[in-house]
Amino acid sequence: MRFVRTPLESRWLLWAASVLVPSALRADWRREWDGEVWWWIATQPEATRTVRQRLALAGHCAGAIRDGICLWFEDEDRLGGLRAALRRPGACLAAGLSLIASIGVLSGGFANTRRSLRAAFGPQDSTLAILSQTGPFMGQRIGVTPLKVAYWDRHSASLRGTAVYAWYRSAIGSDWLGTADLPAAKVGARFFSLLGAQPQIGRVFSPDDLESCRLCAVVGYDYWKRLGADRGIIGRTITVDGRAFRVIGVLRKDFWFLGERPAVWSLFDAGMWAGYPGATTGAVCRLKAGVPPGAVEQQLRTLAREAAPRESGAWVTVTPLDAIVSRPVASLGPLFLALAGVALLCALAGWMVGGEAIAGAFLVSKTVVFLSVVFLAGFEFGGAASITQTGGTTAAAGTAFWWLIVAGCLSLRWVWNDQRKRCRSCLSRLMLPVRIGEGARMLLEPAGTEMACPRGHGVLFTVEGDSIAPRDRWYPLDATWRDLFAPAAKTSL
Amino acid sequence: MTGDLTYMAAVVLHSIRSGQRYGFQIMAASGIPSGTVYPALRRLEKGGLIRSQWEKAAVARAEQRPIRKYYQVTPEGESALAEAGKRYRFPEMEVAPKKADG
Repeated sequence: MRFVRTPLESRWLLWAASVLVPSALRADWRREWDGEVWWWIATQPEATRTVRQRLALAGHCAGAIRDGICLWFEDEDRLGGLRAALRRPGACLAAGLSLIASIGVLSGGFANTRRSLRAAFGPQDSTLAILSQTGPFMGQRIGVTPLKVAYWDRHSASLRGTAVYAWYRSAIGSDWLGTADLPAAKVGARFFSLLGAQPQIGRVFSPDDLESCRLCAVVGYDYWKRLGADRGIIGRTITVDGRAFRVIGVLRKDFWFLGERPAVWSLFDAGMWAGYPGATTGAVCRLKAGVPPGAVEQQLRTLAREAAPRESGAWVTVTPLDAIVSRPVASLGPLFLALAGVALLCALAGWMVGGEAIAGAFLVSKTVVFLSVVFLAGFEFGGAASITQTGGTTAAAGTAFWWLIVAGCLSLRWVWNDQRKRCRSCLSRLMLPVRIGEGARMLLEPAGTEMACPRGHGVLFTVEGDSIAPRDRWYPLDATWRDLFAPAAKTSL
Repeated sequence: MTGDLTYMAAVVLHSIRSGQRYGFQIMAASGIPSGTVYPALRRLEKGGLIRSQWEKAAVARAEQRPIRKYYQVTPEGESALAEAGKRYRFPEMEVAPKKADG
């Protein structure tokens, strides 16, 4: 019987698994697996020649990975090292940064935060604004009627153009993906040109489409990707609530308007709304250069009174789009700065009364990292999604606000508590909590919990309950204690 | 360890008791994949229910193959297997012939 050469992928799997095996066992482990693989090959005729047999052998060798993982977890030295590393301050900051990175991945690279910051601090486009009215109940923001928007468009001297829009859920179907319930939008023919939107492929709507292309549609970038990112999509047919539309273009990836990302955009059908004169939609307008929104508001209110003296539309509001987009930063940014400022002041106070500068720096870094986690989660998953189609805020905005308040305070509390339970020398998280004393002793020997530094730098005694004694007492230990603590750091949490 | 044998570990122990002496043979007889057999072997050996021994290099050299690691059930393993037999029903296995090359 002759030796048979192990296929490359199986050799690679065995090598990868052997990395996990503790070095003391690795040679024997590798010898055993090499022997087993040899036996596998020898019992399978022409094992290395057919793809199926090679895959079966690779599956057999994949078991070596599991074997290696089991041995890795049984390696006390390595586990002890891992546990000790997890107690270090760097692990705490790394955990926070990993959370930030996860939010970044889930939110498409902090898209909402970047957009809000750009609107707040970047070059402002104050000529693009949302038209809305004050509703009859508690001053909530509602849309405007399409007829009124058309009237303003014709008669206002301070507007360069207007376009209505409405988004809703609908059954969107295509021959090659089936039907799904997705957000769709209906927009005026000048909607995209007012916003300055450019297509990824094809074209966007133009005023001529009202006559020549009534059943045309523009596809959103995300939906186009779901359809397989086929550049030949132009001219193909998709259905929206059973009506067939011809695709004329695809929007660019960076196109964004007030939080929603409709899959399909079709033309607003004014005739459909004729039977509902009180129905409202969203409306966007482009102001003439140099005309302030307040002046436009006055003019539109005057026009609205002329057109329909009894309607509440006299209270039209013109809100620059940038002001709406930057609202989360404007409202929540100061809260973030206030909480981070409190943490900084506390760290400075601690340092001034004799604390270590490195501990203060760690405290501030930790505070900023974990507050950032809370605020970025709020911005990305709550703040922008809470903008309605009229530029107002939904109930989700209140939820996002309270999330930031509650989660921000809880994270600050955790950060302080974590700092208290760290070694005053190396900032490692303390371990081996032992409860000492009796609860009834309040004055001389109060009950409490004692914890030790995993590297033997000292012991912390934390007093329980209300006592006149100082809450935390730190007892530094000299170098002779280090040998006693080192094995404990490896084997217990 | 005798009281907390999992079913898979018990089947591996039963395979060795039936005469299957190395990993591949145990896999072939029990139908358990390699990713379960080998960790089970490590656990059983660590718990003292089996012991392992490398075969003599001369035997392997004579057969032109790598040397093999043979497993054998210990007395503790025998009692653990008897205990496990009360709880589990083991698959039928052909008793492998004993070789004198260990």
